[in-house]
Amino acid sequence: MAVTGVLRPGFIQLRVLDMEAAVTHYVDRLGLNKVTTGPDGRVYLKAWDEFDHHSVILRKADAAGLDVMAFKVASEADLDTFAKRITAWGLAVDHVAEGEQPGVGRRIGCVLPSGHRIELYATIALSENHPPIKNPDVWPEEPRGMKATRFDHALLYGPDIDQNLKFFQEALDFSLAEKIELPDGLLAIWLTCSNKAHDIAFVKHAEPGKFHHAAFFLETWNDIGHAADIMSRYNISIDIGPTRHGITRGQTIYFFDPSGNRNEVFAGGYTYYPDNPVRVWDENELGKGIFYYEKQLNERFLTVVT
Amino acid sequence: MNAHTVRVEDAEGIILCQPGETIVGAMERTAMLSFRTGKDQPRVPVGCRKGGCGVCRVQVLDGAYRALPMSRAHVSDDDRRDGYALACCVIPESDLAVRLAPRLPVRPTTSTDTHANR
Repeated sequence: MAVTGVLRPGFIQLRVLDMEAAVTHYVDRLGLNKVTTGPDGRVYLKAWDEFDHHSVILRKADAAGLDVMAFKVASEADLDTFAKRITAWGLAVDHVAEGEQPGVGRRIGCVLPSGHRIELYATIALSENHPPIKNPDVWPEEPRGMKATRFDHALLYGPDIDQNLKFFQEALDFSLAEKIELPDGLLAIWLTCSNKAHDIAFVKHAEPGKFHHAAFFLETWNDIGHAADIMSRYNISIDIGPTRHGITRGQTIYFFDPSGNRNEVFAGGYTYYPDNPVRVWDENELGKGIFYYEKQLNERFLTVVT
Repeated sequence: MNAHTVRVEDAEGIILCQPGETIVGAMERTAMLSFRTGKDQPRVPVGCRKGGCGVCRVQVLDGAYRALPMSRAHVSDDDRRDGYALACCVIPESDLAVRLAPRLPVRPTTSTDTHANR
């Protein structure tokens, strides 16, 4: 099946306590490019291998965490169709006018059963320093810092993830690639709208609307090592890694931005097709599923969120 | 400037903070030293180390300090007046006495924040 409807994660808006420190982190260390600062002070960023205007928005606030994660859909007609399907599924749909973010067309939004806000949009401007198109060199200019290629996915914590699963499958045509099933029910789900092992994931958590991490894709395991060197050189707060996930098979480091929002650099991961069986982890091998080499969870993974 | 000691209520030993160093920063940096000398060092829970997640919340009982930016979801203005802070953001300016003051599950952040920004 071709990728239709929802294409991919489009952007994520995070709240930061100190904008200057945040920009140093995301631009100089992670390697995103600064696109612009909006009239309300929000800072717009993109990774070097992304065509669209921006993929990360930083908003200064007095509490860290997630404002919204948005997905790009294939067409304006799809946007109208999804508005109807989301309403029919049972969530209230609201509308955000074109231009609320620079370069972005109209958006529709809703609040998930887990308490997180997501949005969909079809139209966004081509970025100025997008990857080359005509006789394309491998990059427009050499990547910087950890050399993040794209905003890849997010993991969010909240209640009612069974309902989130139904919503993403029934209203947005996502597939369940992988899950953790405990005797008392679902603990976690990895959902994809594409060939990636996950585009968004959820872990069951009592408090709604919590943010676990935003992940940025790196090309190789060597790049993960280089990212680790940068983290130690600049005393970036590391959660765990470099290591590997059993789930998704991704190679990874978890670390924190200067406001305590968790980031991940992620390489590898399997290629998913919609006819793949759902991969299942149970309580016996849960540690290996999350951290394949350590074979156990660090407590921070389950308790530290913003 | 001098190093300052931090004592944690009901815990043996001290954390020795160098000038400009946070409580959590000093605790993690000296953990290996504590292991080698066999002397106890107080333990404060460690989360994001950046003032966002709230797991290292403490109340300062005595002493002077300054604080780096902390999420107001975990330390409100009233909390700050009562000496509450996140240990990863507390830089002692004198010897300190603190007690652990975790609040889990933490208070929800305001979801209306997103909409107010439109």
